[in-house]
Amino acid sequence: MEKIKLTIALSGLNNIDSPGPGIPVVRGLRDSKEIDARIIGLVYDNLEPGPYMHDLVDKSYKVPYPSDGVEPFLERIRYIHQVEKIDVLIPNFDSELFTFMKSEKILREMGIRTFLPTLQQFEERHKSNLPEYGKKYGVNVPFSAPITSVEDFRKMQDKFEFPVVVKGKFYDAYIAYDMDQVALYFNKIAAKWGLPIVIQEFVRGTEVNVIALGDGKGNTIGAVPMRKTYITDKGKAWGGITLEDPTMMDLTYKIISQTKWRGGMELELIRTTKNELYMIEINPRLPAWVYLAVAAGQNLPEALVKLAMDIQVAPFTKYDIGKMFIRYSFDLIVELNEFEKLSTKGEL
Amino acid sequence: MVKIKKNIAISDSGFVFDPGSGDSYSLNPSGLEIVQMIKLGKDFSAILEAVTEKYEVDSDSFERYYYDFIATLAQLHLTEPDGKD
Repeated sequence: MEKIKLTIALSGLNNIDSPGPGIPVVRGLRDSKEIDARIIGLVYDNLEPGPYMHDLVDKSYKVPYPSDGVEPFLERIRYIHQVEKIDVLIPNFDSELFTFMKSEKILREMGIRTFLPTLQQFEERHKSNLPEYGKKYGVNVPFSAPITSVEDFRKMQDKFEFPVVVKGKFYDAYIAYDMDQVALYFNKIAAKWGLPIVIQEFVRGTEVNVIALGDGKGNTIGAVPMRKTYITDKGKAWGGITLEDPTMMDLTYKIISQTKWRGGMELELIRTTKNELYMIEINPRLPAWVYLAVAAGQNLPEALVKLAMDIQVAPFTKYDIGKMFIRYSFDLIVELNEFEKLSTKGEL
Repeated sequence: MVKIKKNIAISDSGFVFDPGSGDSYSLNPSGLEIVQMIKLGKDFSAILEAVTEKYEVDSDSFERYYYDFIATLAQLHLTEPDGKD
């Protein structure tokens, strides 16, 4: 079968100790037997490794940070599109999703397709809205509340028991054992990711995750559950293994069918010693461990691109259980002239 | 009768994999032999007979080791919760 030639732009090429999903998504696309992809990297920082990984990324362009506003971003995309003729764009950072969702129509008019959750789906699964989400969809969630100052937490402290989890709106989470630690982590996260900060009840148990892809009509195109077997001090998986877990799968099908989720997602769950599942977060994109799902038999990046291109995708019905990943670090040697190109011209 | 959970994978080398939790363990040859007998549906008395016939171990000692071993398997959630000898 002849492969479909597509130009796919994506971000999240920071393949560092807390990696973005970009490079694993590219690996999935490179494995595809149906898509012949030209990969365009959208880069925020000159030191993201992705642009220098020439066997995976064909061309990279610096793009403005989402916090700079929609217009500068769209202007840059217009320029890149003029040169590259982008077919599909896959944003891989939570922090840029809002900008992309807001621009979905404009991108579409330009001829660039995306496959993203709707604004409503994106908003209602925010960490700060999780209790309402749990109630609405009948899912166990830990008690949590958004705060904009440490004083806010002091006022509602009787509703929590220490330890509590202090979370940023996009990234970062720390376990705080007393008021001093709450204040410390509040300031640390707020300085980096802004407000609100979410205080969440700490649920003791094993952290398990599901990667999934919804077609936007209530169907789950693919889903693979995993347990982190090695966790870094940043809480990221450095190793993981696919599980056979019908309850996690049922929960995923239920959430996707009720919310009609569109796009990739990661459910972060805690399994308690009583075998109950608590949902602690929904990440609105494919996670950095997506290549484990590809290796287990579900090429979700390929399926996502096909959905974006309105190509029919049959739901995956199986995956390999007990498939493991072990992350590793690798020193990429970069010539100064390459770094120079990306830093001065914004292209490589 | 003790029953090993159906989904637990046990290889000939003694590698045990629990697909529900993702945990894995290694059995030594005697442990593997006993687990294989349990999987074949043998109860304690049948296993006792087979082991004491094959190895130099007295019944009392084996009984102690056996129930210790079974308790470990149960603690690791490798056996059905209702199965008992």
